[in-house]
Amino acid sequence: MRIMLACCAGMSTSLVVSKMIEAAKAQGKDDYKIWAVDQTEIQPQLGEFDVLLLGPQVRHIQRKVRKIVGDDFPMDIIESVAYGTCNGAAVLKQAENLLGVK
Amino acid sequence: MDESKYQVAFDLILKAGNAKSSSMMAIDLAKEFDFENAKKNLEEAENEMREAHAIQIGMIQQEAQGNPVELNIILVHAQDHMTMAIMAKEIAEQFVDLYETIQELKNK
Repeated sequence: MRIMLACCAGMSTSLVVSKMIEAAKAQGKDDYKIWAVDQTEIQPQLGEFDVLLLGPQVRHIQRKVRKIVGDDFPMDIIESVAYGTCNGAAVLKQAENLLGVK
Repeated sequence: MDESKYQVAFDLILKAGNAKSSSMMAIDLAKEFDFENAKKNLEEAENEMREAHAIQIGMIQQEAQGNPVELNIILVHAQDHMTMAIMAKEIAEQFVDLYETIQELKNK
């Protein structure tokens, strides 16, 4: 599974990513690819990711991003509490739920 | 990774980011002449900014008491968000006013 996170500069989500990778490894999901980018990288990397999560601090770009990725693409805003506490396992779960992965 | 040292930065990014998002949504709504909801979003931005400022004041007071928060790049980035949020809110207020004027002129 390829999970891409986007926010402003991809900086804070990079920390979330490192926690998500930790959580994925702990669950034996070594084949997961998880990374963070700046919001302007969404269009150029289209096709490279299976699910897209936006940092809650950029929720205002959701409409714009929806147009880029298409109506049915699995995309969501990272749940605020999980983001604020840098809870990698919770954000990983959110990504898996979007793709219907158990 | 010791996430506790990033906690205050994450809180700040969240509050400032929410404020900026609300401000930007206020402009989008005003563009559609939906001033009621635009102003609701400006109010939300105001509330989120108040909480962001409280976090900042907390850090300043901590430093004044000789117990400064540890400086790291995420905290610097959090301050970026704070600046962006302040600017976004001030500009959003102007935009909402402008769109109201545009609507009045259109209706003349």
